[in-house]
Amino acid sequence: MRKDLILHLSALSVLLLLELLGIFSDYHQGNFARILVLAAYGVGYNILFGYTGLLSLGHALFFSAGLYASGLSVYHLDYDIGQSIILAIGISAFISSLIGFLALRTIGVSFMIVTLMFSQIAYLSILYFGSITRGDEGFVIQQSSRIFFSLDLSNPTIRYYSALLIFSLCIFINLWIAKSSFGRVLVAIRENSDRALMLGYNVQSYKLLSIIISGTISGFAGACYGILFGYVGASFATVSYSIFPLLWVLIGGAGTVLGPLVGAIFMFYLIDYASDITDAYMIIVGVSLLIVTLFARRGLLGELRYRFFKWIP
Amino acid sequence: MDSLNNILLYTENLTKNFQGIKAVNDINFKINHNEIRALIGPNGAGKTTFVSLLCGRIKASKGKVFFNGVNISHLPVYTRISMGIGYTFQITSIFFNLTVSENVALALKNKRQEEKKSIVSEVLNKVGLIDRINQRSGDLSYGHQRLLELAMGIAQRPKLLILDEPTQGLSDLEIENFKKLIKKISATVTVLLIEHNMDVVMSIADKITVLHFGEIIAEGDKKSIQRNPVVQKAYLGD
Amino acid sequence: MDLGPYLLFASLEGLVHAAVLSLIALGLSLVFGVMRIVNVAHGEFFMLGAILTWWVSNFVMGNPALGFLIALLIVPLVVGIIAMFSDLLILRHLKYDPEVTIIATIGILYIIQQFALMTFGPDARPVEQPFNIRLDLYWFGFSAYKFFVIFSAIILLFCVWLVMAKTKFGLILRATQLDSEIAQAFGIPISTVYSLVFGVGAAIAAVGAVLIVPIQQAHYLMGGEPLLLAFIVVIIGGLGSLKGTVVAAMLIGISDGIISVFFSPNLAKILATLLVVVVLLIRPNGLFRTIRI
Repeated sequence: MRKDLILHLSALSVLLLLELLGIFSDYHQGNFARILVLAAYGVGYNILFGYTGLLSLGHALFFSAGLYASGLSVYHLDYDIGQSIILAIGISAFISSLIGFLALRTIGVSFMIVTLMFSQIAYLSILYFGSITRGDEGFVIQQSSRIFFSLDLSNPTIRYYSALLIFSLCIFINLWIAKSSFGRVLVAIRENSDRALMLGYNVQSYKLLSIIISGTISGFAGACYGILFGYVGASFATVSYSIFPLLWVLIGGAGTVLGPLVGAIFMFYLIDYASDITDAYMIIVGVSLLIVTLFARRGLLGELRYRFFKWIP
Repeated sequence: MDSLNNILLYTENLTKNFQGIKAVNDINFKINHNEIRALIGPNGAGKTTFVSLLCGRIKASKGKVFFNGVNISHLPVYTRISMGIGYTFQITSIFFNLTVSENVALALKNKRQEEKKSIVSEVLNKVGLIDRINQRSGDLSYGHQRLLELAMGIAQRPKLLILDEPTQGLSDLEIENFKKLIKKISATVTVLLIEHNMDVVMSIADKITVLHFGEIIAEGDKKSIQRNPVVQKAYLGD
Repeated sequence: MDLGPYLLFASLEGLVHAAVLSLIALGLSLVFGVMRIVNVAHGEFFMLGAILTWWVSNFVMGNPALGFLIALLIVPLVVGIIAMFSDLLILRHLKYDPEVTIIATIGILYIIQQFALMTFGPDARPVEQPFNIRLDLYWFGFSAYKFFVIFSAIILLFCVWLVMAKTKFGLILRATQLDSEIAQAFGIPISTVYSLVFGVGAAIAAVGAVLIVPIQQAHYLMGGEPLLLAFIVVIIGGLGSLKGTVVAAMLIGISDGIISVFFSPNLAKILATLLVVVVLLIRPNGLFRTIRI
């Protein structure tokens, strides 16, 4: 079997064993379920940022598109879980193609600012249509609606397995892309988009496709997050939720499959710890961003890959 | 010899304005199949701008480009490339973080995996980089990086290969090998070569076009160019 | 009130915000124009100006006008110095790589914002107006202070224009903006210029904050909205263009005021951003490209 496949399967097995052997306390089990879904969001972000080299500051838009599409359809329209997730995937694919079409008219710094602004509009729209979305307060998805093929998704153990399944699905998509010739072209665009163009690749359409894949995975993760944890609120559409995946990916290593997971675990516990000490715990995010940009541009797995294991995808 | 079906590419009144300055002015240019053509001219003559207009990296202000009899003026870069125009950059422009073979493989669009493999080794054999096939291209010497750039151009199997100052910064030995290589590939490929090194131009070009201030001031075989007083004036100044 | 006077009232309110907005956008635009970096922490320097004004006005007893004047002198200076330090300690070491710099300024954003939360607290706090005169405009009374805000902003904009157009410092900035390498070759100390510009950009935003805080209250989250609006202004007006910035700030500020009064502030921002989408469609590559002052 291939080395990279072994690495990722064993990482997933560790996550599975932690649960099977009952090593988790309830507290950490809940945390890890959240981390896994958030890391799936990070995987989506990484496709665009880590592999294609496009830095979006507005992915909260895609995450919340999925979150609200599934949440609202369950809350207002009594959709079942399967239907709501399919709807969420469709809507986030649609929104990411629209945003991609518009934002890709710009490059570099302008791309970052434009994505940031679009995301801010989504946030303001959620507040503006408060009668439907319940604005800042958000809404709770009742336990009775969170049943999937008679599995109660609010049960902590089932929730953990679901989260692990969601995460596994996303990293296998990521692995497959990284190994495909499509993925190689994305990396070529990241490394030198001018050259990729002159080799005859339609760089714009590759970028657009990358945004759609990235946005759809992010939306899928958002939908799962709402359903597994039963809450949908405008806080998930704030700038912070665009910055989080960027930070996870930077810490774990941009363009590595497991980077987002490593980054998410690290940041989740760091913030968890800091929020016991101060209300201003988001200062941790600020400090981490500076440390990463000043001293550790490659991130953890990126550094490992650079120094020792060139084969890490 | 200049009959229409012998012409691979020609331009009609091709013009590019940069904020009022005519970088390329009203150029009518023809190149025949399997020719090696050198494009020379002093710095700032508009050589790179001109070839960029041919492959579509820059949009023309006016005029048309025909390739194999088809008007390609409004086609995007990637379509022109897939029609058979190859371009290698003046500044070494490879994917530094990828290996040599990955670089060349990227030049092979829409090919099956096994096919890619054989073409990659064939091309690398040709340019003499086969020993370094798995090396990270950023770790190669400058000369080898230029060769890799060329290998990517060849691997595309273009009908027209545009080389922008390919010998810049190469050693004498490397330049000799380069000349042989171009002679070899010109059996199947038309080469348009921007070159400062007159020794290279004189020894491999079939025909020379001289550009000055965005206009063609002379065109012809080596001897006529060498003797042309207008060319001498352009190079030596007034 | 009838619709006409109501509209006039809304436009006047909008004009006040437009005045402050043009200062904030000018700072953002100046920093990008000269240094070619986007400062996402710009809104936080504005916020910092507001809460420092609150500190000063609380510290200075007696006439609120005195506290205001002291704040107007000190606060922009302090904010400017803080900004210069963040340039010196952080941005300089990133070699102003555009993308990495944005990430770093997001870091600075969180640090300033959360530091304000720690020290200033989560509440919004008012600052007394330096003078309390109401002008009777026949249909409604309007605070004379708000006219003062508009007037001050105009003066400051004029001063910036004067500095850019007529002084040696302005010449240095324009040269750096055109080509920093050539400017360096002519002996212009680029890194000092960059630090100064980063400081001045933040200080201009802080002046805006000192002016607005007697009307708006100081709050640790107040930096986000002006940042968004300043981006919109700068994109529509053309980055680095003083005239474009002022015109766009007027357009956005006044329409924001009117839509906010008649409908909702959120709707105003949504519509303003949609305007940016239109600009994108018409002028795809035009963003952040025009650089003239």
